[in-house]
Amino acid sequence: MTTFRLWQILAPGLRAAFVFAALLGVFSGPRIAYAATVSGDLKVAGGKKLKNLIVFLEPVNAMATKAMADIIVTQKDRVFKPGVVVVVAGSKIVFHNDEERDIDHNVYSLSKTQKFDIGLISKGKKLVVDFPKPGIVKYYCSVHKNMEGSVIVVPSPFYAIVKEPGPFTINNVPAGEWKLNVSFSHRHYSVTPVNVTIAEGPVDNLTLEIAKKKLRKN
Amino acid sequence: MTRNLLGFLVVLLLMNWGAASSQALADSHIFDPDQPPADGMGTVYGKLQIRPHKDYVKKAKEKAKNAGPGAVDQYGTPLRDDGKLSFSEKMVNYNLIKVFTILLNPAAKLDAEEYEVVVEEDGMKPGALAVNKGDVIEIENDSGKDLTFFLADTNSNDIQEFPLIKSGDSAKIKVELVGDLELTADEDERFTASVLSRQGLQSRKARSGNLYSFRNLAPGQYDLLFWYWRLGYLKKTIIIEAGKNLEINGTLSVDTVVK
Repeated sequence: MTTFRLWQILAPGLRAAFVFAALLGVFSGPRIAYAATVSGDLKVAGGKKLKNLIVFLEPVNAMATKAMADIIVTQKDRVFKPGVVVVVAGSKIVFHNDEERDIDHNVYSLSKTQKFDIGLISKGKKLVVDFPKPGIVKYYCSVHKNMEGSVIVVPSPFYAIVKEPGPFTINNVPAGEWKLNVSFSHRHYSVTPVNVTIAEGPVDNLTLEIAKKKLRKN
Repeated sequence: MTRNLLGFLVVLLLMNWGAASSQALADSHIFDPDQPPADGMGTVYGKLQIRPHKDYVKKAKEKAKNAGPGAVDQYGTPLRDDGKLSFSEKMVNYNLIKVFTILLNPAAKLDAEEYEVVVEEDGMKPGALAVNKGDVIEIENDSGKDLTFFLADTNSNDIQEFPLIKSGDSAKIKVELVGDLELTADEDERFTASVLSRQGLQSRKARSGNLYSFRNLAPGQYDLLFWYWRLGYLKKTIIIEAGKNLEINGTLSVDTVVK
């Protein structure tokens, strides 16, 4: 039944009530999704050339996070490939033992973000790990030396991988309140997140600064 | 001539035996559990083992059992006479790993100890240290470049900085942070060592399967940690009683640490 046919069979009084309610804004209905570009400059105090930086937006009062499709990390020639992956919180990684020889692998992590041990994966087998919490998860194989990898879990699908400090752009960010942050591994540095409000139009000229940690002795 | 040669061989044999037995002494902590501790004091001792994942051990042993004479594990490596697993060059060799046993007594007044870390082109040696707050680490920089080190707590933003060490120089640093720390070169993160630092920390380092002991301790409650940097640690709270030798054994593995 079309909307027009439904409209025709409604009693005239009811039709009038609908028009009145619509004028009052009773039916909010699905809003037109607004998406903006967030851009700016990522700086590091002292000009330090930090590498593998992930600039991301964390929802404060905005759209919920959305998991990505499963990502496959292979174990071949005693190496995890890719060695570093970025996933959205709630995503899954499929670890696939793709060795040609009969070699077993294990994947475990002692990271503060997430501890796990998936046991032994035989040749040709796949095992899945969920990554529900944002943070950096460094993992190892307990069978083989120097076999390690990292998962950078970001809180939303709105992120940009930046090879070195400089300009960044994140597209299609929905309206709402966000915190702009950056993930990196160097322990001598920290960052203060920046509040970002998406309402109308792009948000540009943001500055996100990574600084050396202040000395604190316990 | 023959007698001389025989004598030479005997001397050679004795020298080798001496070297082997000193190595065994160095690897094994001599302790007699039947010997009582000093008056009013107690002792904790035990055997610490580090092993591969339990699923790996189970599979290796099943494979070897089914293979019959000339048993091999799942990689075709013959099983050792002592029943331990063998590990190829590319595998983590659990037979060689030395593990820390750590006793924590925050009230203890311990003298500062010194440790040495050598920075070479391919990394830092040793890659892990267990220290008491106030201990000193001497860093020898043989990396070929000038480096500035810092200590960072992996669970907080606490940090301790040290002056630059020029290539070829060495410097002593005093550990003032407490926590699960990393000693890292600011210029190159490949130069990193794990440093477990606590107030009142005493440690023993031994190969898997050997005994450790902490003798003549005042009665009371202590924390005992079994630690290997790549596997983290197992913590046990113990009560030391006067006149008693307390046996605490531990197994450090992925499956005993991650539960």
